[in-house]
Amino acid sequence: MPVEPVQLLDPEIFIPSTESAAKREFWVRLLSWIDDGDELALVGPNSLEGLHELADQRPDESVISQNDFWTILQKLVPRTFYPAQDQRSICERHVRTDYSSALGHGENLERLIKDIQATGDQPQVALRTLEDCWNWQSRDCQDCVRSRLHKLTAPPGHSTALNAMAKVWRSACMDDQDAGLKAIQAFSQEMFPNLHFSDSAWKHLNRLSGSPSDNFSSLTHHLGVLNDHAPRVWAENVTTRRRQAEMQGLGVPASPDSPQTHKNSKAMQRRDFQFGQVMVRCEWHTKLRPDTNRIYFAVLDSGVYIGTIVDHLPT
Amino acid sequence: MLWQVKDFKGLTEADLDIAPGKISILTGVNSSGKSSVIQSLLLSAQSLHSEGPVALNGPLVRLGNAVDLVRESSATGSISLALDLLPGFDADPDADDSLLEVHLQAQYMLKPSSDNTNLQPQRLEISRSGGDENPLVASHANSRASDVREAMEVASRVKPSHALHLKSLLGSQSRQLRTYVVMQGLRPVAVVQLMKPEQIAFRYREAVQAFLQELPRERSKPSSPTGARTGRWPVLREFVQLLAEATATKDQRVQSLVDHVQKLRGRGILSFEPTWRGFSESQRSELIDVAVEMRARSPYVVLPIRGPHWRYGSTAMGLLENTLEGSLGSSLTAISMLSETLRDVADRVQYLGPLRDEPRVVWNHWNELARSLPVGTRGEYSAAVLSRSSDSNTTYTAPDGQIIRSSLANAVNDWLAYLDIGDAVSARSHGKLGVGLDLAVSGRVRDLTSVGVGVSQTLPLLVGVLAAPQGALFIVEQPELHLHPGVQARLADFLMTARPDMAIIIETHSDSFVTRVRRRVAENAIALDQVDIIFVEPDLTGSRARKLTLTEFGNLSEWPQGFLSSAEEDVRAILQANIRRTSGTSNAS
Repeated sequence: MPVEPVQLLDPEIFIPSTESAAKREFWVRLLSWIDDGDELALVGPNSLEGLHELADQRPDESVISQNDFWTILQKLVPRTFYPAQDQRSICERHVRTDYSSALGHGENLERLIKDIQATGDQPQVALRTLEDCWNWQSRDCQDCVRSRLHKLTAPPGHSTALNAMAKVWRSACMDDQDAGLKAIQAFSQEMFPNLHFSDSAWKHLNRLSGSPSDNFSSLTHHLGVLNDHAPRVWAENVTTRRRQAEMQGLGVPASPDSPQTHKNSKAMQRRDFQFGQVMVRCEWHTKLRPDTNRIYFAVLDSGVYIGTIVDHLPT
Repeated sequence: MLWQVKDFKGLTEADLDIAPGKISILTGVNSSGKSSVIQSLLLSAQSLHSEGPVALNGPLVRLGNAVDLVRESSATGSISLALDLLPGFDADPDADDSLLEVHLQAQYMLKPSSDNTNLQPQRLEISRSGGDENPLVASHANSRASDVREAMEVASRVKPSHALHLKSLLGSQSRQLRTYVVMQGLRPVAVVQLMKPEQIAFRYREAVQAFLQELPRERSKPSSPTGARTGRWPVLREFVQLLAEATATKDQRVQSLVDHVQKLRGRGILSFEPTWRGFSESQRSELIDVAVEMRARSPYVVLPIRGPHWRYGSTAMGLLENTLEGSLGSSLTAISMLSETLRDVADRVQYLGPLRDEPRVVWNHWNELARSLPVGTRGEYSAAVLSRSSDSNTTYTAPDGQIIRSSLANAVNDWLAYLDIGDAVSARSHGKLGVGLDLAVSGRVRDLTSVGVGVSQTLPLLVGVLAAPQGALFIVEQPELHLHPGVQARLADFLMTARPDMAIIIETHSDSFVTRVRRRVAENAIALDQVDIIFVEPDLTGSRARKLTLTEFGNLSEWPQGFLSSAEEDVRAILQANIRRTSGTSNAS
């Protein structure tokens, strides 16, 4: 099974420079990152020292009240982890050239590098960071790829943050040599947060033809496209043909049932799926392979519904 | 509207603004003296309800012995209590017939009585706010014990507990001899002037002769506060009454005048003048002698304080009373305003304590409600109040800001839903057994024993506040007990919003409560001057209450040590422990 990605909080977000500590702007930004419910990003052990300094040089009351200051710190200080014995290998050179602080403390870059290194051999690291801090130049660097460091720039709670994290989960799953189709089912919530799976969605996984590893990657890809793009594709296009074309463009051939099947009421009934109390007809299907292996789905205003994953349903 | 107490229990000084519309939040560590501030109000209210001496132990508060109530290191050995009086009106000395709005402040000095069972005012001072003129001073110091006894005896009808010698008048240098303010606990009930019989005789003769000579022609009018105009009828009535009393005596000399007196009485007061003028000079003189002698048998002048006499006309019933009223002038107005203000405070105070009666299926309390306790100290009358007044209308502000006039039951349900602890509550009669409360939660109806304790904690507060009379001064201690922080915050919204006509005093330790108040200030939902956050802080000799200034950003000017549950100490400790742990130096790992 894939290992849960580590979520690390960029010290830029919570350790200000002396000047920024006196700016309300910094604290307002921090507040938007701190109110994250159950999505816990961690504070690296090296950044704890920075928090300690901050606690000793508390900002002026006129910028942030004492009560609010300690309430914020209270959320941060227990979210830490033990530094790993063996440092994680990262592409330090590119982190140094690409990263620059905006409102944060001058030592934050060093703290960040050490905090990432302290995550050790954790397969994936999702760094919750700020768009403005990075030079987003695309690099053709194997060290960067190997460091498996994902930068997530939306504050927690936003749907973009949820989708970005879902991508990290998919990478984690892909990365795991031993992960089988069952892993997709087990982590479907994390990997595809926008998809609703029917009660019988996973029942026929063993009917899929072909090698499990091929199915694994194509299934992850198809569900990923449905999760990330289907609501937008359906909202922007009204005709079947355009929707098909857009999905095709994303590498996922998909279509609704043929008129023949529509005439067969028995067959159509097989496309009604139970989602808890609600029944949804899922007649659209993506084609993992041209001849077989289908994901039956429906796109409604309330989300994307996955009826079943199966070799094929009777027509 | 200031309420100030000094040297009371452990408290050195505390100020509260009790004007309608004001919310005062009292915070501070345990045993800092927050409750003492509240107790000063409850003590005053329960004393004023009791129509007797200061009542240390009563339905609102039980304080034990008087000697324990004075702060140990008090310089004067007494408790000081000051309050702004309700604004009143006084004659404008520069313009005839016009009135000036006056703002006065009264200050009491209270000491334990000799038997230690109650507190007695030793000194009462009334001064104009911001004015530098002489204050009115009534004091126990240097007063003759026999005079004090006599003054109280004379005013025995109004149940006095004490009398203070009137030392000086408001804005005047003149001294009043043997004049006493008779007190019933804190409330002034009468002013008594004691004289020797010959003084009374001399003054009454002088005044009545002048009066009968002139026999003022104008119709009776209420006298102005300065007593400039003397009413015709009360004076004549007093004169005839004195003569009638004289005829009841066995005095020989009087017997010869009985016929004349009969005439004066028989023809009535309206034809006094022709009858009087029909008598001979010597008859008139004899009648005056008799009246003077009778008046001298009561060697005192009594002015009862019956509320604001400038509003209702003169309280004086006789000639010398009129004269005394005239010479007391604004001072009498001031004393009446004090009496009126105390009545107002006593009527306004409504109290709900921190603890609640345990939830029951049926409550058998219904008729024993004490004044100032709308739902009982423990909320035990909530069911009865709700069942009695569910159909009578109350005006309140709903959670969405609309002002609504509706039944108490609707008002309670509106806010119950906002607090998110139930959908609707209704009182149900169980006949002779009493009244029960049914609460609808998520579509199911239950009694209070079957729902969370939050409901039984909150319901009395909702009922008490929403049922309180217009302009009440509602005092509640620790409304947050047993409540989730989210509900505590919404409770702050309730107390800030539901009854903008009331003054509310809240003692609390709740962080969430204060944070919600700060939020509403920052959002401009309530005005800055509508809320006072008062921090009570102990020091070596006693505790002091001071106002923390709230800014429009929802911040406080300062966050003193011990203000609410600052997480600082714990957060620092966690931080340091985690640094040690992650750097591998902690034993704990």
